[in-house]
Amino acid sequence: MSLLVPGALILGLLAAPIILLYMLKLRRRDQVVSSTLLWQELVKDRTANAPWQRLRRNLLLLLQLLILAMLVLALARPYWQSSRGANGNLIVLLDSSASMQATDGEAGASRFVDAKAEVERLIDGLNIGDQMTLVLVGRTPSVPIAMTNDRPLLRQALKQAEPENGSADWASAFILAATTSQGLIDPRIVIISDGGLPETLPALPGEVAFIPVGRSDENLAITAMATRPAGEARDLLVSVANKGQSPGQAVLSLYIDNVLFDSQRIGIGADQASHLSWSVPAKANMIEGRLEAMTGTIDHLAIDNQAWAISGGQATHRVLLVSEENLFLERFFAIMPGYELVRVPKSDIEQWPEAGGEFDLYIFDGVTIPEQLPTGSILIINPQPGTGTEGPHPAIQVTGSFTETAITRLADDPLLTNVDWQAINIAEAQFVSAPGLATLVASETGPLVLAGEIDGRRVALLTFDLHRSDLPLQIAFPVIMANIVDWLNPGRVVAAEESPQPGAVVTLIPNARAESIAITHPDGTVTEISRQESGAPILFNDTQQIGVYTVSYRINSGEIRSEQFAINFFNPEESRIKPSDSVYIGSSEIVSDSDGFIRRWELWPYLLLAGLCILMIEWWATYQRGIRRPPFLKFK
Amino acid sequence: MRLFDEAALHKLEQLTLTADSVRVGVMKGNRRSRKRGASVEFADYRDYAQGDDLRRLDWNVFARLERPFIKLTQEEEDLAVHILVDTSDSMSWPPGADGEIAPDHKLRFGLQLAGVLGYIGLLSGDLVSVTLFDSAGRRDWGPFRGRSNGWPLIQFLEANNQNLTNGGTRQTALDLSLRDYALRSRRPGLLFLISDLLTSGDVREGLNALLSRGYEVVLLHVLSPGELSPELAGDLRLLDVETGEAAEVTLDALALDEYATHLATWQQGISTFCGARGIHYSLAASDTSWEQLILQALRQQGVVR
Repeated sequence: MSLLVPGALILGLLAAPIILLYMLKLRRRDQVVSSTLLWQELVKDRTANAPWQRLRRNLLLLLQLLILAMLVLALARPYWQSSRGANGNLIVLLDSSASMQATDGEAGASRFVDAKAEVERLIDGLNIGDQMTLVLVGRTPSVPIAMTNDRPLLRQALKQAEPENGSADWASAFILAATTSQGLIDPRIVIISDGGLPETLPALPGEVAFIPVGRSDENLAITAMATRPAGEARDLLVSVANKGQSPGQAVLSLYIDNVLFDSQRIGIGADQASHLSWSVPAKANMIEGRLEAMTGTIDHLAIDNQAWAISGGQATHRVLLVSEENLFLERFFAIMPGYELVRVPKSDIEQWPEAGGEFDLYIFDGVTIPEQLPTGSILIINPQPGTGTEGPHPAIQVTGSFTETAITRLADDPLLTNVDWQAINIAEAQFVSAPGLATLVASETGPLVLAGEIDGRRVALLTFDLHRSDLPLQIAFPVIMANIVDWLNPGRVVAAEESPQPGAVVTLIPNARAESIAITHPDGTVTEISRQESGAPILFNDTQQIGVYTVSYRINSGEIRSEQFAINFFNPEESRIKPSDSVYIGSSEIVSDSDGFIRRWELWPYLLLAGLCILMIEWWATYQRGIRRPPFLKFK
Repeated sequence: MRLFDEAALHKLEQLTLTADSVRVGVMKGNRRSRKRGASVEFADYRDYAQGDDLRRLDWNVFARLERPFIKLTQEEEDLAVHILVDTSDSMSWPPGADGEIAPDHKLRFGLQLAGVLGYIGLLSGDLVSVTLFDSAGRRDWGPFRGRSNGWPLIQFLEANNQNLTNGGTRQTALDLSLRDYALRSRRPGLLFLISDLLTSGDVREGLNALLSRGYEVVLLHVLSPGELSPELAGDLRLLDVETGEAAEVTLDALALDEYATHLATWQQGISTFCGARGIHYSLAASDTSWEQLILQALRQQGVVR
């Protein structure tokens, strides 16, 4: 037991004046009695042992000194200290990252369950006046309950907490904790985690304690899975890693469109990875990999044992090219798998809407942009100014041409990756003013490449004639065209992205003809999304679950189309479930040591209560100081 | 306030005082002695022994049985009754309100007892002397005999009741006073000592002196209710009304318990001392009526019959 305010003990000196007052108070009342013969005996007895004998026997004085002792002790704020639990203004940062799902607890309980038990213990230890704030540190840290002493509410909030499937954003959580602790007296921050905190975290105000959870690091994981076209077939690459400290054996099974395709037994050394490849049919749409640890191999984290790859490449996209003649483009789309090109001569531009129904991608090459844009992605090359009352489209104004085309500005955009623009020479380009599009490449005089969205459709614009530049002759041409076509994402609703992770935002570009969109989650729940009037892309972020999501939409013709995208775990950091005993915060290491973590049972309320009780006893004693008749004299 | 009333005195006519070990009186009284004597009242027979007075041989029996028997008759004798009343200031207690004498005033109670006992003695023809004493001096009445002296006795006591109960500066040293009385007295007899025994000297020496002179002592220990169980509380400086001595005490229930223990020990000591020496000892609270004391307590002790 220790004291928070030991200086208050000096108030114990107040006992001296109390005793002194008692001494002074003994100015006695004179009382005449018939004889002091018998009283003398009494006086002799009472003063025989010590001068303060009569003080010792004075119950009231004793009680008053006891009350004083209780009050002084209460002011000194004594407390019991124990290693588990803390009090004051607690801010609990509860790690809810994916690695907390590892089942290395007692009786197969997950780390998150253990962590919740620790929080429960903290809640149990809350004193009167203590407060607790619970922060769930997931991909986006959240505060389910803040600054309350209400234990049922805290337990309720804790009960509802679930681990996520992604990484934890500790930096944001620390900022949240720091802002929450502002203005709090004696804030204590408790981090409950299995480690994995970055080492660059800033220092936190107040006392920081760390409660580690987790015991084992044994885990097998699929860390990567990808396909790529390879001639008539597709190549599938799967990486399997053993994150533990002992070698393990597992069986990797591949399912193509839910039918078992192959199964392979693999052995992986401690902290090693194994890469396997298959050749799968090009028609394969959804490829699923399942990793199962063999008997004798321990695998604590199940979430990273499954992965999906959606190739979706078997559909043919239709492209309408409105152009006099463009051999380069025609050649390019002939090489690109999955594209079917239809060319309409420039003179027939009025008839393009009738050129064989719907297309996924429209290319206007060297023509005036029609006033009514088609409902699909559009690539515009070398737009021409309008003639008479015809076009151009109000969002894209062509006002003339320029020849100062030396490239002076390059935007940092994925569309331009792997392209060396400095080697490209352009003879002439059109002045285009398109406020809705972003300029990616520009010369001193005007823009050369633009991209953006107009009325919900993606539009890319090259302001120069391909024939009047050396771009088609450069190695960069197929690259930039592939980039542009990929970005335009013709015919697909889900914007292509390299295997999005849980919690990631998936961009849905609704087809202009789509009426309603329904997304089926891996667990079967369905989310309906109404198409927005503006046709702007829909950002879908309810992607916590791991697995395959199906996006279904109905186009005006009544046909229902569906597409799939997969959310994969692929998180080497979270797959490495080795628990750590310390975290680095600021410049110091917080070790999960009981010293750094004090739980205080403050005793002052009990002392005050005891003081009050003694006060009542004193009051009672004052009024009970009566006379008792010795029983032997009741002879009458 | 009068000490006695007529009705109360009438109750006393049937009573006599008895003494077990007192010597034969010099005068013929009208009390029966334990001694066999020469009166007319038959008591018993015994065998004749040489030297017996032949006048007292029962000739009728001798004629019938042809054996000599001496006829014993009851001797009648008088008794010297000494009544000593302690009149020190501690006996003038408790003080009454507004100059009145408190109903449980110890000296008043003592004088009442003295009057009652003396009156009984006078009625039964004993030689009664009453002495009111303190260390400064004594007031004697008697010795007188005969019921005609009853009235003067009562007057004497009434007068002193007026004088003494007002208090003053009188002390007693019982050992000295009793020894003095023992030496000066001409005829030992039944002696009543009425006192609170709250004195500096050792009362046992005085009692021993009386016993050695052949007195039969009846000790009537008078204490007021306030002394038996004091109703005092708080931090007090107790002043002795007799000596002026002070004692500082803090009185609570515990202290009063202790006082009660001391009182019991003290009283038990006196009682044991008296028991061992054949002294009749009676503790009397001054708020008891004298009838109760005389008719019950003293009767039980065989002092009054």
